Amino acid sequence: MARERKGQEGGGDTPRVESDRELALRALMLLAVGGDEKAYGQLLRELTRLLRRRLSFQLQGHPDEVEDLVQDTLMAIHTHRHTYQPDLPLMAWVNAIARHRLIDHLRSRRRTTALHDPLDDFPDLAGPRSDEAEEARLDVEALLQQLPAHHRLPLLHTRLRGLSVAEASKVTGQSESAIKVGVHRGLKALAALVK
Amino acid sequence: MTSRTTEDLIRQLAEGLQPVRLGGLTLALRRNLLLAALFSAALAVGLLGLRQDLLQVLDEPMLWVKWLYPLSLALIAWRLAVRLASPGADPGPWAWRIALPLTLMAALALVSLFSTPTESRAGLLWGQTWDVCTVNIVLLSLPLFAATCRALRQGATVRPRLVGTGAGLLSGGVGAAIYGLHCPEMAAPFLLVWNGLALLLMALMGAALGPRLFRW
Repeated sequence: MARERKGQEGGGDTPRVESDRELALRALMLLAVGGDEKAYGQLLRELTRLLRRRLSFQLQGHPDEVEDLVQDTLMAIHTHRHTYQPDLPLMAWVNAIARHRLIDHLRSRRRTTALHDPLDDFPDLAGPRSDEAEEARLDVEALLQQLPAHHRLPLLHTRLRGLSVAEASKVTGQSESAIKVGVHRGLKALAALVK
Repeated sequence: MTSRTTEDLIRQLAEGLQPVRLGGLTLALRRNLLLAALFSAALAVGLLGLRQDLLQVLDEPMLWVKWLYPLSLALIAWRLAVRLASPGADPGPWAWRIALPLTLMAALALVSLFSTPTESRAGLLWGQTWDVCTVNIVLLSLPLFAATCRALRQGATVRPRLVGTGAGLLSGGVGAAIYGLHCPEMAAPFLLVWNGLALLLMALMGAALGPRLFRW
């Protein structure tokens, strides 16, 4: 069931039909912008559903990349939520962000497959792994050292030292958003390192 | 990564959610431009000098045209750039409205040319300061451009080149208006060509730098 809405400037008196979903999501967004955590969670969950469906279609050859990109897009939505203009359709805003992240992702994918490491062709030449080296590899602190500071520090404070996000934010001087994003990305990077 | 981690992420992002101000970019732009305009005006008056006959010509309509034409262009460019700073936004009517002040100015210039005897027409076009006008306007516009782009970087545009062009026109328009404090020329053809050239250069600079400046 659609509802009519008067068009904005430039459209004059042309009524613009907008779906219930768009209006509901927009309402959630405006609440979230004001700090409503529950509305925000609901919004993100609904957007995740829509993004997952869209990206599964757009990334047909690479289903394993879909969830990563969904999360990437959610984080971009979170970081840039202040750029939403309320008189514009929310889904147009979301889709533009999703598309931007997708293009970035495809571009970097093209770059890394082009940078083919020649050593991979000759595994013997990579050198033997000693037991100590293996232990060191699994040492969490050593792993953390391999991360850039903006991932390592949030993880260090929130996971190893048990600080809350707010406390970690104060200690590092980063915003709480940056801490959350850093923890999430840091965990992913660590997971990739121990694979 | 499984769907369970996405749920974790959502929970994390929602927890301790900070409210954000939606009109922040506009406020930053207004503040930055004001400061930069004061700076450029100080430069214009300090280095170039206020035009001597300013008080005498206050009742001449052309003086006000010299301010209204570039300022109206700047205003339209402002609306265009701010709107496009949001991802997924379309330019709306602001893209084609850019042509309005330009068209009016062109019409004024044509009227001016046709109502002048042929031998005096070149004088209308070249004036006395054609060789410094464009350069001065561009120089005065640079601090404005920096201030504009700094504010616009708060956005997340998917049309960086167009936003850059808008930023260029905005700063060029305000710069041209500020230059009017000094510039002695009053002929519409002169303004159309030499102000126009400065605006074009600023727009091109914005278009060229846009993709790099507004990355996210």
